[in-house]
Amino acid sequence: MKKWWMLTKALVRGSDAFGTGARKKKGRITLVSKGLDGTKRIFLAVLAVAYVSVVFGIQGWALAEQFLLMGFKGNNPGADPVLLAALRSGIGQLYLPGFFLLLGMGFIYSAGIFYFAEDLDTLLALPLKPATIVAAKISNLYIFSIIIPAALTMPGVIVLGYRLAMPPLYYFYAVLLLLFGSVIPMCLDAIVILLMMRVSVFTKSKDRFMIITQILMFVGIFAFIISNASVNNNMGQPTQVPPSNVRYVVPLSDKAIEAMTLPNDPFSPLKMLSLIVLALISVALLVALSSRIYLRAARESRSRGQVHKPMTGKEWKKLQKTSSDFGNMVLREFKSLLRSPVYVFNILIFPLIMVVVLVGSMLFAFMGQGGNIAAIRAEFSQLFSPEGLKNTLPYVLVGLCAGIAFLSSTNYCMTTAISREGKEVGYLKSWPLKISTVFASKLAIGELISLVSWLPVIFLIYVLVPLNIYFHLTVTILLLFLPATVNVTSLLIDLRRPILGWTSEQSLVKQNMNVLKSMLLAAVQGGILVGVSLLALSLGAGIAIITVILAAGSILLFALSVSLLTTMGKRYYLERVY
Amino acid sequence: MLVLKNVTKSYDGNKNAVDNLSLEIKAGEIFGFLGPNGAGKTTALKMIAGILQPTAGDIFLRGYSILSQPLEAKKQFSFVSDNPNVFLRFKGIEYLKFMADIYEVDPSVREDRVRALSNEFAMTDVLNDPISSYSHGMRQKIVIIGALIHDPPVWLLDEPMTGLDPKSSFNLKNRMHAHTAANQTVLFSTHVLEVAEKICDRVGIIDKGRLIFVGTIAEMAEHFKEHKSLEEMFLELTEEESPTFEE
Repeated sequence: MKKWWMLTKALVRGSDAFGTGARKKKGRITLVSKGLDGTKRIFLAVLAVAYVSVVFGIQGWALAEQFLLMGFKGNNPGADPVLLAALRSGIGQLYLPGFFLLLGMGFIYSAGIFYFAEDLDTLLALPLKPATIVAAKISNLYIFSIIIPAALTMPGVIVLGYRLAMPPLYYFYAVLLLLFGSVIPMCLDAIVILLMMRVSVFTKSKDRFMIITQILMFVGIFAFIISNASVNNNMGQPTQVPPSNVRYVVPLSDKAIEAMTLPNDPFSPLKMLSLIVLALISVALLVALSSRIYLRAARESRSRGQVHKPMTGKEWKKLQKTSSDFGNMVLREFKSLLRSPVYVFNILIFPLIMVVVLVGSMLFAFMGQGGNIAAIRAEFSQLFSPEGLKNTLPYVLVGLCAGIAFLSSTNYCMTTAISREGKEVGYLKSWPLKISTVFASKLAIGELISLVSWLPVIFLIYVLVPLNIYFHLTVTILLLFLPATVNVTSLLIDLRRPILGWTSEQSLVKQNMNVLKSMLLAAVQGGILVGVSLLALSLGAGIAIITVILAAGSILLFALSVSLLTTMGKRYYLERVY
Repeated sequence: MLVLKNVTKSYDGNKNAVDNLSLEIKAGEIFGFLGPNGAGKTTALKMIAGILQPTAGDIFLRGYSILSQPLEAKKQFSFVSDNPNVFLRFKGIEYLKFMADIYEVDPSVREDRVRALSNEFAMTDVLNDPISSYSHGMRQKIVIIGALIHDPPVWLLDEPMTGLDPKSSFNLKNRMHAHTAANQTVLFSTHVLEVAEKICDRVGIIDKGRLIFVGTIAEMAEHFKEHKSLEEMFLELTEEESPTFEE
């Protein structure tokens, strides 16, 4: 027991399960340059938890107000069954985000603790029973897992109970539901991860494992969004009591919630007990599988051999083909990104999602009109009526400018353009290459990703929107130059403080303050254009002036950013990249 | 062949990682950089390779300044870092083709060179695999092959023997001898004094950023005027308060 607790504490405090501690500390470390040190991370985490708690506390308050208006107060067995059902549904709504997010995030936690933490070799060499290691790992997972539902759920539940003057047992059951309810999705996620670890193909590639884990996480989170949306559609209509979808993630949670709403009911303890028993069965299953699967899978995954692919005549022939420095560097960038599942997922997925969301919503609009392009074009043509040109189109363009600037900054390819070279950046610098070639090759790939994101949008705009010189000129120039400007400034930011001492691409992309700085700078760039345009509009400027401001402004910003890259960027490359 | 003139590097503006380093390495010479951990060997090599900018001084490779003529200077050497985790997403053969393109190796000689080098370092069977699947030693070997593919006049090698199997290490040493026999230059850093003793024509001992000895092993022994092993002489030199030796 003592060793289990010692190991649990050590794992919670010291394990690098999420690749956060492996960052090289070199030179001056600041909050926004080299990532966050432990204290600052904790401080920011506390701030985030406090913020979330306030938000969900307000939700509990609003829910309580609704039920107070309906006349509900305290433990009220005689209350209208429909009202009670509505209250249960409301409480279910308060638990819903915490448990659903845990269902999603639990995959990441489980993968981090069971798969990615490279501590097993050390732990197995220690004089510890395998059961102790497994118990400590599961405890470690539980400690991480409980944070999300606790932060998202308890503030609202407590505020609701306080406002409705619920008896003390309500709070006790609420905590039990949190403590034991969290166990079930946690165990489910961990079991899935353990089973994944038994599949040999995953054990060969951490990156692939992470991709699958992230997909599972997104499925969990999207499940929450969809579930939440379906419930929201029914809320506010107590006569049609909405089902509490939380029971799909935490079976028997509906019984536990029933116990919370009638805490003094004689059957309430039994209802809570049923949840606790289910949670304990889940833990028992996880412990059994952990002992059988985890230790074995982890050992085996470290002892697999490698089968080499022989060289073919075609491969030897490729040596004869030559390429220019620029071509070679672009190909190198492309291959290194494309062959890294982490980069493909983290860098390309966001622009692609933007395309899917934007193009998808346009297509939905198209389908909503019965696939009639003429009807859509007629709708859009209202923008170009004299009234629309005066009162609507300028604001549409300004809004588009802000949106394009922000969405462009999600191209993480550029914010890690130099950093992803890692400690081996010295090789790149030792080759006889012009600095401009290095920059151009990185920008070419960044631009390619931007174009992949935006070209379908441009295409749809040209198809769906009737030709208008102001609109098409401005949007086309904005879509070409604003993302390019953001790419250049992102590269500049990465050059200024490159993070080369990473050990995991995942941590480089996810825990990189340069990404946030690039987003901020993109907002500033968009903000400048938006601000000047709004100022001009307030002074009575027309659509022509706004077009000139946005089009010329974005070209000017691009020229300025390139100028900065060729001067400051080169200096940073020579002096700071090593 | 390789000249360092009053080269200084300071990372923080206060302490010099390399302090006023002047050195000339002639053609046909294997020169070994020795020194304790953190002495400034890698910093010096990285400045020669153009990775770091000297705070003061200049470096010339076959007459080309690394500061004012970086492209020409970089064509004169190949660099092998102490960290071979390079281009992990490339296959070995792709990396070699890339290096051949960057250094403009004639297509007609590429295949022969790659075959010869990969056979010599026992890498032919794995050339079609991603570098990420290689062991540390295999990564070191692919980087060395990539560095030798354009047959540069100057070799800059930072701890090149680390991770190499005995045969590859032996082959690399032979290549170093053959290279200098053709009147070219090898500059490498090492912690292994036996390696330095056996293959270096001259050694430079660097400590706390300052070059405290330059010369042959025999000259070092002459300084101590008694029979000592290189290890003993090295320890004594690096423990003294840096009495600088002039060549």
